[in-house]
Amino acid sequence: MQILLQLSGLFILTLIGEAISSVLPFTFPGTLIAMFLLLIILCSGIVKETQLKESATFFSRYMAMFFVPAGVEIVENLEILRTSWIPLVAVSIISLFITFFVAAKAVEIAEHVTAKRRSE
Amino acid sequence: MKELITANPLFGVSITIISYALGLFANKKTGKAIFNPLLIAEVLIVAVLLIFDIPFSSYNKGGAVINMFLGPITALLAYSIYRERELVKSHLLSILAGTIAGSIASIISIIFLSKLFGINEPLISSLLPKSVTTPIAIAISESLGGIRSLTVTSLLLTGVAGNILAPFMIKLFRVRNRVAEGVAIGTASHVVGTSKALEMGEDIGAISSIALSFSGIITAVIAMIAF
Repeated sequence: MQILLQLSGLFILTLIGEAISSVLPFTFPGTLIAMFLLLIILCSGIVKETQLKESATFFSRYMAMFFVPAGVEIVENLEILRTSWIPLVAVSIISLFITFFVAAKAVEIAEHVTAKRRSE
Repeated sequence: MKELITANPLFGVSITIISYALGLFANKKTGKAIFNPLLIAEVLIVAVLLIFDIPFSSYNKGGAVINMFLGPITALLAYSIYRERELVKSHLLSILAGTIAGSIASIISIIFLSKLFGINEPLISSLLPKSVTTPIAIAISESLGGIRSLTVTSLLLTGVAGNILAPFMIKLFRVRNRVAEGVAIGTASHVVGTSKALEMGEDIGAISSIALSFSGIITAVIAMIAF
């Protein structure tokens, strides 16, 4: 019963998110709107953390399985992969290094600033 | 006979679950990041479709059913952020600084490098969200007009590379702060990188999971404003 309630709640919340997204004047993923809604619901205490436990545990444990079909669609685009796999790999790896570096250094600067402010 | 089986949505559903289970098994046996369950499942299914000459549309009758759960799964990211709210509060400024700077760096570097290597639309839109957690990345890619399967492929590549290279990058860039390590791993290489962060320490893993949700949201916001 708990799980049925959790699942139907999550499905309805996602539907609401998609509905809001479709009337927005700009493009923003409806699933993320649903995420914000759930965060608000949790913070306001309307739904308690424990009331979501079963479905949250299941989905986070097997999360990656739900990404499989989107990835398999690559069979429709094998030609693109064959002709441009080298630049695709190069862009992915180089930008990984840049992103990692910038994120790490930004945090170090921010931590440094907060530590300084605390000691003053 | 073949058409009879593959026309049923249960074909796509079962082959997905079985391949993923095999991927999980191979990953547990070897313990190597390169044997990523998602990667193995995809390669197996693509091989089956090609060998038995099954069209993607047949597979996707069941695939669409599984794909439908991406929405609720994204919504549930709120649950993980809420659970780690104390950690978020105590390092809010650092996490925001790292994820905002990292997401901007990721987007700019992808656009710049794509131009440099002669990659055009819709490939750029497919690559843009590749550092972000999968459900959000797929949503961004679709709203920008990208090819979602390419997004998932480059995202997997980034994640696996991040997982393997994280300790090397920490040394290379002389990162000496545990919060910085966690934020950098989560921002640059989403969930797959985060599994490495969890091996390096529970605190780094938790920070990394927060960072991956934050950078997903920030990238979606930037994509919304800029494109």
